[in-house]
Amino acid sequence: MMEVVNHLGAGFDTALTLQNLWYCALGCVIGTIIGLLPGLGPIATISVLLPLTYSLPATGAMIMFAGIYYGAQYGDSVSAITMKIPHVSSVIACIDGYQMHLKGKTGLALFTAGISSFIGGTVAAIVVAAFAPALGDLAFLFGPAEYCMLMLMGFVCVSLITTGDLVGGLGMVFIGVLFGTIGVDVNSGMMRFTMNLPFLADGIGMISLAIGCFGLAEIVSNLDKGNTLTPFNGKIKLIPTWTEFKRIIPSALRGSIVGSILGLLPGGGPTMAQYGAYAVDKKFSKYRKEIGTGSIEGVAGQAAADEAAARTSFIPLMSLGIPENAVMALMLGALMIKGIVPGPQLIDKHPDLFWGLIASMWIGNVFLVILNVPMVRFWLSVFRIPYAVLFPCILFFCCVGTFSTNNNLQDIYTTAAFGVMGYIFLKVGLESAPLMLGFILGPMLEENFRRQLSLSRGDFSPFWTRPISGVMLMIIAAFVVYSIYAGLRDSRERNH
Amino acid sequence: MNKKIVTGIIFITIALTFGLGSLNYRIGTLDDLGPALFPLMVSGALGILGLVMLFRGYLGTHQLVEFKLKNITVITTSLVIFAVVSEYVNMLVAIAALVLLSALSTEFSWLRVAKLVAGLIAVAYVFKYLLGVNLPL
Repeated sequence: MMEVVNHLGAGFDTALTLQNLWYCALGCVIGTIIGLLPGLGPIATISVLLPLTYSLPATGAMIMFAGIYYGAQYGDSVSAITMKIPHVSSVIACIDGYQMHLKGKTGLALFTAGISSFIGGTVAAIVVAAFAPALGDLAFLFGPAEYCMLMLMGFVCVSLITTGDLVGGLGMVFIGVLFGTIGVDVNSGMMRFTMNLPFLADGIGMISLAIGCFGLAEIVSNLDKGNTLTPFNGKIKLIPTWTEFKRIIPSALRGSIVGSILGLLPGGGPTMAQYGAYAVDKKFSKYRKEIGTGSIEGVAGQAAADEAAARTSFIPLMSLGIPENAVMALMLGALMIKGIVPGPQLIDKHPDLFWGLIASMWIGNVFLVILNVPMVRFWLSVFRIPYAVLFPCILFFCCVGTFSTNNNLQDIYTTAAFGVMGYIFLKVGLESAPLMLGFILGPMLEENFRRQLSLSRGDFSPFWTRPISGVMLMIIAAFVVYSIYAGLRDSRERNH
Repeated sequence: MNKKIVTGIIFITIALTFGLGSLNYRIGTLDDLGPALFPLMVSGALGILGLVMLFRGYLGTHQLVEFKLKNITVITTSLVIFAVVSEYVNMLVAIAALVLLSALSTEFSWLRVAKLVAGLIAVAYVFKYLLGVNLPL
């Protein structure tokens, strides 16, 4: 216990340097803005900013990206409450939050969301500090077979949860894995699928792929929708009465716990956490009858869970080196750019990075409350920026982002090509997030697969005879069987 | 066209491209895998998923794909032009070209284009001289 406190102390030393405070604040501000604006989620923003990692220190870059990630969650809930338009994941905030807004309690709803996020973030920071090192110890039990299964489990969960369709989602993962095999094969030195094009020898650029699939495809699909923005001009009363304040706390605490747990699971994260917390509140809250009609609990629980899950989802990344969703996959990308390999040794080898990041998340929370609660009026004016002004700027950032990776203008053609691909995927209803996950994890999957087979001399049985690996295989099988069953049931219902 | 069928065709095409491509390399034996086996396995899995998608497309409800060619063409072209102009002239002219071209996909206004070009050129100078990004201005 003392050890954790000491580590956290050192973490605060790292996070409180002027430079890192600045990265944290910058991340929170950018995050809040993109959360408020349509058509730029945290995935797109982080991919556009990924090349910055080359010129930033690793800790600073991670602190900033983390700030963007949880800042966007908060900004998104503001947009969901005031306009019923969630851009990232705040689907649940649309229910009670928007109802409160209609009842003229906009200020109260925003305050509740802000304070609950703060509570959720604080609880999650404690969870991360306490459990990530323990999970790191667990990771030493992991051999190549376990890593393979863990990645496969992540693929299945992410496909099922983010897309709701196992076949489509897994297909995208596999496409990502196949794209990841392009380039030199590490084991044999053989060029694979490069079609003798020299620029493919190092593989497809992760940044081009991310910017194309998320940034460009998103812009075009927004343009297709003919996005119109409605400025918000309501009056806001922020400070709640004491009775109102008392109602926030229990619900926010419940949400924090639910969110912290759900954030840990592969494929988990904010969206699932919101649903979970909302369901728990509906069952256990003292005011459960009011939920759905604009009650404080309906906002507080989900906001706390949202924020908590956004933080605990860092644990699998930092301690096992396995990202559990697309944003975390990009974080892994940023770490790899800096030559840092996440995994069980990360916390020991780079304590300042890990504990600094945790401390900065808490500082980021304070920033968000200061930024958002008193300055909500200012943020709402961001809505007045028309998309016609916004998207050329984003396009320019996409170009600069692609170019600055290798100082190569030709990379922009690659990005444009991936933009077309991402747009086609979007139009046929396929999500690009599983593709990104497959692309980043693919090479790791192949390496561990080959290592396991050469360790066991071509024998596949360790995948199911080793206990941890076997359990994960069973979980994967359960998910697959369940989704086949659900698919058959749906098609039968449709026929009747 | 039906979304699921298009998805199935995309999956199968990619699976065939990589699957047939990997046959050019050594498959190896199970205790000494060659570079071909892993992509071959993944392509196989992808191909199966593609077939399932096709099958579902024939059975299930028919959600149709709607492509709007205009915006994607405008955006892709403006990126390509940006890269070409940056290469042969410089990035300041390229910014103007990018903003001008991309403005075709919304209501066009000279004033807005001029303001955006000025603003982005300022941003480009900030990138180059304050952040040290090596832009060809």
